[in-house]
Amino acid sequence: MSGIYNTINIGLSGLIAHRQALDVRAHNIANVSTEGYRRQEAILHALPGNPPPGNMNALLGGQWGAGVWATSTRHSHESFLDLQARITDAAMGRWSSIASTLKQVEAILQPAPGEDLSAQLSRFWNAWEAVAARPEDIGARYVLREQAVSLTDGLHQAELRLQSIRTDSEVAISGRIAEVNRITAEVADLNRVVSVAVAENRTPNDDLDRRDMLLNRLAELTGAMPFTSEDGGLIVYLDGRPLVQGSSSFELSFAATDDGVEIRNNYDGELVTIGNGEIGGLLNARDVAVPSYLDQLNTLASTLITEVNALHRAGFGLDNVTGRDFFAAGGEAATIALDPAIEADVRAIAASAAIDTPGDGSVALQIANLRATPTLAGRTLSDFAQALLGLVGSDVQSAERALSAYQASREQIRLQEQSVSGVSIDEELASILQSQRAYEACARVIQAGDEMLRTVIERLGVS
Amino acid sequence: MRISDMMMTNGAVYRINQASARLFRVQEQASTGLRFTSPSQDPSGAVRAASLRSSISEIERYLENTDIADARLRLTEVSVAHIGDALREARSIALSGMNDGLDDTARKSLAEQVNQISQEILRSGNAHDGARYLFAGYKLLSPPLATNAAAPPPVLYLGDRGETTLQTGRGMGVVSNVDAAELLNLGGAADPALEDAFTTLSNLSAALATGDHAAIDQAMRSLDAHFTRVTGIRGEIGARLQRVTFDRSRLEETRDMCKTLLSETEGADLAEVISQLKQEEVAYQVAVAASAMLGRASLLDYIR
Repeated sequence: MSGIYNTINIGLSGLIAHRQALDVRAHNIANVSTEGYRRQEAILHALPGNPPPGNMNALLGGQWGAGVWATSTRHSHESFLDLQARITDAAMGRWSSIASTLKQVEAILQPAPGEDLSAQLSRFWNAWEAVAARPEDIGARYVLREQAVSLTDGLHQAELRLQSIRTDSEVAISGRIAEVNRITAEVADLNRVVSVAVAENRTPNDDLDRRDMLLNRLAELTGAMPFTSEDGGLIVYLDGRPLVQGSSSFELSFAATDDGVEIRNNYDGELVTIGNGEIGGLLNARDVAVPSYLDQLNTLASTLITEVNALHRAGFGLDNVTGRDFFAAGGEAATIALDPAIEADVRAIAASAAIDTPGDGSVALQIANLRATPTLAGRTLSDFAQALLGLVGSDVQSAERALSAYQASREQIRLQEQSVSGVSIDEELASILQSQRAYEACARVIQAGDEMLRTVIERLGVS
Repeated sequence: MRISDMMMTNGAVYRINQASARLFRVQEQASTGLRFTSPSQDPSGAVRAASLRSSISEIERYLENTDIADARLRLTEVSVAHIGDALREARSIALSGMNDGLDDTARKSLAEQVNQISQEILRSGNAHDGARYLFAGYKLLSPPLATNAAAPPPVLYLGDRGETTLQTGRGMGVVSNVDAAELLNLGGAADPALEDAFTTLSNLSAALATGDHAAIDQAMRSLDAHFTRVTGIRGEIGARLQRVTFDRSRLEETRDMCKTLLSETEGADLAEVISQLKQEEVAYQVAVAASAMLGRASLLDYIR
């Protein structure tokens, strides 16, 4: 049996529901530029009719509606797009780390156009050629010594800066590990909040948005993908060990050792391998890419030392001393230096092939002609240096190409996501109008109920 | 497709970024004049450019060598010409010594003139360019010719006949010196059957002093042999100078070709770059203008 109060209650339910719907719209508009926010929508449900089915009282003449109530939901793509986005984020993270590290290597190997190791080598050979042309000329020897010093300085600088890329990577990795730990702790926290809300039959929209965003960043950092376990909880695994398991998280610890970087999971204290994401990229740059350039630089330096010294030892200086090295023996890119005797006196540079022949530059000529001698795996030192430059160039190029390909596909995925989940102000405004009108109409219903009630009270009462 | 506000702004920012990245790249090309400034922009081009630059710097070094060779050979030629002239003068003195009507004083004077010529040749053989003795071989820090107190021979060669080859290309070069032993047949360096020029001159001087016609005649024949050899060496120097000039123009041509190749490899085609710059600028302006129009119209404007 429904009465006039029922009419007023129906109106009231409408007032409440439409005001709530308006709130949801307002929330959307307020978050129009919040990153990771997914638009929400109020869903209006008709309240179950009265009386409930089964109560077969014919007098009631059927079922009467009881009004409306509102719940909110969020618009999100299926997890397929989320997965795509995270896979792309992980690859993007990896390639952006690799590309930016290789860019640094490139800048080290070619500080300015035309200023690379092969140019320095070329000047070094030219200085030997000039000594060969004027072996008695002290000035030409000074020039040679200067060129040799600038070549060794160039190698030192390159080696030092390549090493510093490695230490910089360590700092970057440890910062990112800290970020991973913050994220996993927050995700575990959100998991708890979400599971409580779900148990209470509420939809924690904003917590879910926040969690999705954190999981995207986690994928970008480590390549770790979340999945839902059988009991509905959220789990994130990295290298076979959990980072997040429902409401608990496991920290990663970071230590730089002589052999490399050690990342351990405190779930079981074991070493974790990270091959993807920004951290994976940084590890790759630190442990694979940069060391290979360092190796090549060292090969170049030690071949230069061995080849020049072998010829130089056979020659005689202006001081008639023979058997001396030009470069201090046994050096690599970091340690290549002139022999102390040469550093002390340019007369010690052995240009001639015999004693007391200051005008003979034949040994200097042999050394100058090393420029055309394939001393390094069938290549000349200059060819080797040039190939090194070409190698870093094509490495950077392919890393940048991969990065921009992933960026473009991420942009596509973002568009698809936003097409579904993004807020459109026009749309919200239209809905607001709708809610506003409905609210006004509900108010009219209450007014009508009120008037009916007054009719009852005033006309049917004792006069 | 449903379009949200974030899509509009993100899309606009993305497109502006793309347009400005392209604009930046072209601006860089225009302002540096280079098609690429880092190897990653064109790895194979960078390798080619580095190799061409090495070749150019190598060629420039060889060009310096041609200058050095040219200067040395010219200086050497002057001294050799001098020696040739002196030998010819000695011969004409010898000829006048064949005259029977000469008295003792005249003969002594002729002998003395020959001694002077011998000294002159000695000085020419010890010619110096400020840094090195031209005819000393590798022992170029000290004079190659010295009078021998314990004659004969009257003059000793102290040099080592070392040949200084200046490279004018990989594996090719020009010998930039002449040694005095070869020039003056010291120690029979050029012709073991013949005595050296100083011995010839000292024999001539002695023969002139005594009026020994047979000895004068003998010395004259030797002088002729010396003169022919010196003239031959002079011709050889001329040939080497020609070779240097030829090498220089070959090197200059190669260098210019390398420079052309280098600018083709790494140089930006300015006409093309500028028209590209114009294009990219317009594209950028359009992207910016399109973004400025974003959200200008909205439902907000129509509801009161």
